[in-house]
Amino acid sequence: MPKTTPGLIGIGRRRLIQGIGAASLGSGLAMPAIAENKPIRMGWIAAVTGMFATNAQAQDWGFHMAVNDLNEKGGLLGRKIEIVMRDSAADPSKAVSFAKELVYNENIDVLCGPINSGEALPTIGIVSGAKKLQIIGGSVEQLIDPVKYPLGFRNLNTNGQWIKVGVKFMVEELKKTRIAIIDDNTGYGVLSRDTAIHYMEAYNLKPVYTATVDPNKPDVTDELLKAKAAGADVLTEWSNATGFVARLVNARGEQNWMVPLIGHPAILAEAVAALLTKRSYWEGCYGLGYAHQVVDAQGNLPANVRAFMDKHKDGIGPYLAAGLPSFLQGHAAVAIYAAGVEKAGDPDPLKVKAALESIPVIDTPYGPFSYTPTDHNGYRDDAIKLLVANAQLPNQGYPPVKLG
Amino acid sequence: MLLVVVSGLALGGLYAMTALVYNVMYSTSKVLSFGTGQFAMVGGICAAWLALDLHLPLWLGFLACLVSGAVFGWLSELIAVRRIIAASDEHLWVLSTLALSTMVQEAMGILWGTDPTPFPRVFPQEFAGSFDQKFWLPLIFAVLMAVGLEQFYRRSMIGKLFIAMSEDAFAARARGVATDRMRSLSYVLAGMLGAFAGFVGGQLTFADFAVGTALGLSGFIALAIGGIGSSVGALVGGAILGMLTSLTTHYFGAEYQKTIAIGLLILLLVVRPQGLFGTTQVRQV
Repeated sequence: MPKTTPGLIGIGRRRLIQGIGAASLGSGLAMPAIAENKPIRMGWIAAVTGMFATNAQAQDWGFHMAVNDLNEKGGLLGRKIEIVMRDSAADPSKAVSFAKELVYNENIDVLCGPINSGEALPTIGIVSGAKKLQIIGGSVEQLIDPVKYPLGFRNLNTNGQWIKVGVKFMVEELKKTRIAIIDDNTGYGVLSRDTAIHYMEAYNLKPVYTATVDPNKPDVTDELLKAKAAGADVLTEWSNATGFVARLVNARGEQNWMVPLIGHPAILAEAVAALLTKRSYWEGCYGLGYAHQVVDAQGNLPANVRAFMDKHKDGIGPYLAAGLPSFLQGHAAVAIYAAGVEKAGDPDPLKVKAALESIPVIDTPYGPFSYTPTDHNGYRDDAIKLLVANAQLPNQGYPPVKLG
Repeated sequence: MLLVVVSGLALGGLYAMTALVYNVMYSTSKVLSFGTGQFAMVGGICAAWLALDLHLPLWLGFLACLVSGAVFGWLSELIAVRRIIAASDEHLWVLSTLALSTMVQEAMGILWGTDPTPFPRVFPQEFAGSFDQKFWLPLIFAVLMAVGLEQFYRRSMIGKLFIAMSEDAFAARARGVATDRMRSLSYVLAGMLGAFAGFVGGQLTFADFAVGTALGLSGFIALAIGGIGSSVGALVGGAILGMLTSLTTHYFGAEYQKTIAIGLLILLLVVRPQGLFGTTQVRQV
């Protein structure tokens, strides 16, 4: 032992220096090869348990299917895609913790989600601070700001777009000008009411009646009668509480006051129909939806939607009840990121950002997206359509709205 | 206008029944349980589940609704009240009943779902405007519940023991009344009555996991308006609150409903803290 120690030290020192040199050279040469082969890691936060679970599970399925489809074709830039998924359980504090974990510990290349505004809002500063790209699934306008959060992009429409299209439909298509707005007293409802009033101003219109109501109020007959007394010829409601919307539709039907009722997509839900005293009360109700839900003259959904549904027909069953927009939105998050990476030729967030801003149109089954350096909302107004309640077809599509 | 009044009175009936349930529990424990509204939620969901999902006869759903309310009431006393009031005079039951209420609501949200589901029609009837059963059921049964409870307090031995406990629980115990058992019984009764309210008001509220909190708050306001401990007060308080809610919408707009209801409560607490029909407690020192 006494002999070997100095020898070892002597040999070790020389060999250590040689070794370090060789290792440095070797690793320096090997790094690009490893980077080229290592998977692209997509972070994914979705509240697949909790109060938004039905929608989130469908989105989660669409997200996974989109990644599977890409991996079948060899991944992105020849690299496989790995999903690092976290369930935020509709809890914003969990969403924040998971966002931190994914961007700082899991070394993801992109964060998709959270998929509702309440959870997404507190994460955007964190993800932006970590210089990671984020594909955000919330509709509140404040989530997207290319100046404050240059790496944040939205993969659905804004709430304002829905309301803008809804107001346009009432005024230009239905030719109604005496609009009554009924919303619930949540932050969402109040914000939507104000947005509706804002878009009505573009037509020099003011609502003849507005009511902001507790969504748990057991009866809304008085609100309906008041709107009727104010001379409204059309109603618009802004609430995603199915019970509240159903009470409104019931009260309208019970008063036999079948003026058009236009509102949040929740009005189209079968859960609303189940609460109606008579299904016929659903007539004349229109909900905001998407072009991907509108069938052609033969009753077929758009080709890219059909292609996705046909390919995954074995697994789609449990998610159909949530509606086409749910799983197609999950799919869109992957499709948008993939388009950016393919164009950039590199998953570097800044390069993907520049690529997304330069692609004229990213066509996804969910709809077309066009981002610019000053607008990261992307979803185009013309892909938002009004749908007629009680007209859903077995393939989940809706016939185009026909008036008159 | 008739429909506005009827709708307001129907809401008032629901609030009054909730206020009466508060009174039953308060009589034996001096506790204003935050879980009161949840009795209606659990009862309504139970009846709807049996009748609509399991396709059992509605009368069976009604019985199960009462049983679920009774069990929930008994557990409320056992878990959130008994040991708390025995260990402390510091009104910690506020926290324990609130905690239990929240847990039950969340559990029902997970088990039943967060979307409201329909409640069956109790009698076969087409919608009949102001005379529809969804309006008159809560209205009529609120009156019957108030009358029934008054008779119960005045004529039955157990009712008299409840009154005795409400006046002085220590004296009642000193005279051999099994106060723990009586209190437990009062919670079983309260649970049944609360679930009954959920049944007769189910067509208005739907079977909804979120309805309990709103009912609990409105019932409490009705109770404070009418006066704690008074059945007539609960009835009048409920009617005032329900009518005020409807008329506020009619004359001022829906956004003022809560402000006016809570404003009325504050005003009343300042001017007449014991409520319209409550009595001032005088304690010898």
